[in-house]
Amino acid sequence: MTTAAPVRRGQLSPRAKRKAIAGWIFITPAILIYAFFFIQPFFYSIYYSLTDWNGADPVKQFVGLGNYIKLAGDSLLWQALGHNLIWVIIGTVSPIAIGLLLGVLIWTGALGRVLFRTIYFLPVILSEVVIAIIWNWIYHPLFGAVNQILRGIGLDHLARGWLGDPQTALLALLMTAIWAYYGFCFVIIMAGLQNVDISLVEAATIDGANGWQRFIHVIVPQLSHVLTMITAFTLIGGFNVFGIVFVMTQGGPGTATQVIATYTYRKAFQESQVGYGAALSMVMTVLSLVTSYIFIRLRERQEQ
Amino acid sequence: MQNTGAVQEWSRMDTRGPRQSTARDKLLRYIGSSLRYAVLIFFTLVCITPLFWVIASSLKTTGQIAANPLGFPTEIRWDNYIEAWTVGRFGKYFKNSVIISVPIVTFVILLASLAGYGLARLRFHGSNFVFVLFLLGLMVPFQSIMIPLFYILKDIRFLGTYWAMIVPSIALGMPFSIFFMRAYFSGLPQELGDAAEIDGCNEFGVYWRVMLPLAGPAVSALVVLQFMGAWNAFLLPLIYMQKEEIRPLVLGLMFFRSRYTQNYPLTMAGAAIVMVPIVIVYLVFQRRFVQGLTAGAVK
Amino acid sequence: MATSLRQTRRDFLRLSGGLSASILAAACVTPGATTGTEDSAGEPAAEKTQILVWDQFGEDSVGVNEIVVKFNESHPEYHVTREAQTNMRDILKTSLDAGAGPDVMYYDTGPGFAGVLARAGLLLPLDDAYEQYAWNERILPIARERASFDGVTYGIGNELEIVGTFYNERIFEEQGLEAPVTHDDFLAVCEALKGQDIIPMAWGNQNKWPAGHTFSVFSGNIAGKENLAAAISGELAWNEPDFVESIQIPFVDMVDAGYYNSDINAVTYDDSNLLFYSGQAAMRLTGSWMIDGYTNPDNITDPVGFFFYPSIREKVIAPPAGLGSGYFVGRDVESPEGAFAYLNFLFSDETIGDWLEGMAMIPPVRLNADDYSISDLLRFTIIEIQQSAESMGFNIDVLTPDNYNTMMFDGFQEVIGKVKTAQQQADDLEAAMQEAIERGTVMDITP
Repeated sequence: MTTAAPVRRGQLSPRAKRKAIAGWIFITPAILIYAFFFIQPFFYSIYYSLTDWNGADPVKQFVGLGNYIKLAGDSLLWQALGHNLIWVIIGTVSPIAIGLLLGVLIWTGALGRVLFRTIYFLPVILSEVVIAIIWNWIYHPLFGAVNQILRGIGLDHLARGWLGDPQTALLALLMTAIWAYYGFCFVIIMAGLQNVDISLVEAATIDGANGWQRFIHVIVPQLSHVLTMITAFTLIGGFNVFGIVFVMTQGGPGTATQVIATYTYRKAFQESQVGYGAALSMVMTVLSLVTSYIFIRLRERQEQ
Repeated sequence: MQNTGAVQEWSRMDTRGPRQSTARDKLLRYIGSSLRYAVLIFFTLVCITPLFWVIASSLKTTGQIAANPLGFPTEIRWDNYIEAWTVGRFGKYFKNSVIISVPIVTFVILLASLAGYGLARLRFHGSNFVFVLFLLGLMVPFQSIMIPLFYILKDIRFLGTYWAMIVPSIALGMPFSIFFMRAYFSGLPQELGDAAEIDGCNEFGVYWRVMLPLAGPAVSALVVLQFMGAWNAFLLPLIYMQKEEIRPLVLGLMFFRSRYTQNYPLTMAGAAIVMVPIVIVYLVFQRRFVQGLTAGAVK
Repeated sequence: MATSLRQTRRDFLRLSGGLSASILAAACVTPGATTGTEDSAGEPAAEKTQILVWDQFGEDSVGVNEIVVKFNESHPEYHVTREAQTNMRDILKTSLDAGAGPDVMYYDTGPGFAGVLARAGLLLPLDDAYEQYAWNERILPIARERASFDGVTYGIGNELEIVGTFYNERIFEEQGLEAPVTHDDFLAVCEALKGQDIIPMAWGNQNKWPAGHTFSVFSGNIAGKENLAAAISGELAWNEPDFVESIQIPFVDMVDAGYYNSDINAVTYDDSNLLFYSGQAAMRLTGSWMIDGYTNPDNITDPVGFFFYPSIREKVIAPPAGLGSGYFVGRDVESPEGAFAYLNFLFSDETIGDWLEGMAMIPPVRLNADDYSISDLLRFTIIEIQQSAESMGFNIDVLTPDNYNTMMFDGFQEVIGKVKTAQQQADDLEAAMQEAIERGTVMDITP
């Protein structure tokens, strides 16, 4: 808005006209590939979700909102959404809390910040499959580190098949996700802390605020911008979580860790219910869109 | 960074408290400092112990795993790596990952910087609409399009070829990359472009010779982000890249694991083969990695 | 930089109002444009017709590799390449859909597996091939029946198998135990082993399907062969008391009594075999496909014995017997003749020895066990199948529809994990069967 000459209808200067043409040329390749491989399938998704189709029949039978009506009564979907909800709550709060703790500890004066940052960030670069294999091994009921350690310190009764017990499987997966993600939160929070106004903190100290009060009333508000961003990031990631669950438990035991993405994959690509799978994918779309919208709004308000 | 001095000052004030004896002051400071490092080191261990354990397990025999799962290997068994490398065909999968990642990164950078520049510096009728269209893509998860995309790729005969992953990944990379590049170009001083234009550059010349080089930091961040995204992608190749010959590394590892479910040392060696090179590259270029991978969330 | 980004977000919000109409316009972009690059799966240089086979045997499985070598030598016009697939259930359907699948595949028979592919039109009907090669005279009728859906034959079932109890003879001897004759004897054996800190039965159900076999054993022995067949065919309710009991005994009572290793749902099938190999566990309730593993001295040096799970309340036992998997041909097969020739070769006289001796698997043809050098366990299995086929029960999961199997696999894990009762699971199984009846995916196996 601020950088170009104002565009007035009908009376473009030759220079503006040249720029406009160049602009369209610059943008055309990106638009073409994006339209064909992103926008097009997106609208096909909506269309598929209104059909009953097994992926092979030449005919896609149009069923209107039939799939969505079925969705509403699908207890597995609600169960999966419940798991996603647990996932986004715990999986958002914990890594951010850990990131904040580590961030503030380092920011308030610790040696070796680069070293700590390097190590904390390490899991972030690993692929989900590697992470899942590592943690499957850690949770292994017979040889896994968790059970070995518990047995080693005499807590045999706590040792269990973490991923096979419906009570613990989802939490065990979440631990993995948090392990893989807190370093990311930490780095972003560190970046946010660079912009915190130190004089406000000093003023609060002089006013007699203790460490906790300064943290909550002075530091956190100044980080709100960063915290909002990272929360939005994590929330959307939590609604779409797939790889860790798929590789570690395939949604089991039973359906104890089934989330909406694994359920969608199963319906669409394993059970040939493409129409129904598309309807499930639209549920994920809506969740992501709503979350994004809320956070954009929040962000707007913060800026005013 | 300039604040560091002040911060340390503040942290010292932190533990001093109003008018206490110096002995108590020192003790408190000592406890505070120990606690601080205890927490930091605890999380350091949380991060790296699992990785070390993978390496340790990968060097054992199956017998050692059963007898002593936690400890260090009593005799180092490198054979696991040789075996994993040959039977796991990681060499081939590695090559596949490179074949896939390089064009993805190149084209995302090229197309997104062109478009980002166009949107930032060449205001034209409809540019806002186009930009919003890309922005919407930021909010739509891959799962929203994965099902029809399968059938589109099938129709155009991309399935079973490298294109099945390369082209959709470029499209999926557009929204964020354009958003990011546009923001960066908008922040560059207008005068530089104007000067080049007066010197006789056309629009492409301004972009290519002046603006793109100036956008080096943004480009390098994007390279890291896109590269890691392509290298680590899982769901996309799982659905579209099922031919064995074109499987990328990550998918190859998954299939490798399910083939040798009983042989844990071999599985761990496979995981290490996939993990270690990227960790080394990360350790060498860690600042770039951190900047790149957090580029999306920081600003 | 930050300022300009904020600016863009505001732009976005302002614009998003009038956007929906324009998005619809954008939707019209080239929906059907499916031209583009040519097929990049180029022809191999050789003039031989390539046949790609996917199976679920190990990569270096001697028997099947030998068969492939022999075929390629004796059929110069074709070249078979086999790929060992481990995640077949995850990827086969999408691969076939994509036209990137195999020409010939070895996949689980039954409406829940191959039946899904057949209904999606991904398999080639083989009725003509059966005529052409006179397979009806050679292949056992059951191998054709089990690979037929809606009256069309799509494959040849293979791997005749039975499910029963393998036990470590050394442990039994040391503990003064004998193979039990009744269910109560069996429980007494478990109790005795438990008292000696030996895991009575190793069981890993992380993979979900092993519980299906356990259920097949108990429902055969409790409900009887006829009733089980009726239930599989949708003619008898799965929440009848006999079936509830068949869930209750193995998945609740015996779990509570501590007759298995702990963490059943977390232990994989392979790990449960490890427990058996290492002598930590004394018994395994599983199928004859494990004979190869249980007679391999690299795995276990103790002698392994076998008995069918014994009679419960003096009822006649109906141990599960059936076909594990079968060979099918993909719809997009390049050379149907080549695929048929390979199928024909797979079950010819030249290859029976490879199946039996190389892989300890029983092909679906008439054969004399004494002609081959095989383990006593395998010989016993062959003779049982040949002599008692009439009285044997069923492996449920290869006969039931996919939604029923999903309920069975997920639900048994939940019963074991105490999320569900046996009665609830039985009710859910019946509901799944009703849904399948509505969809017309049930296989009728009643005589």
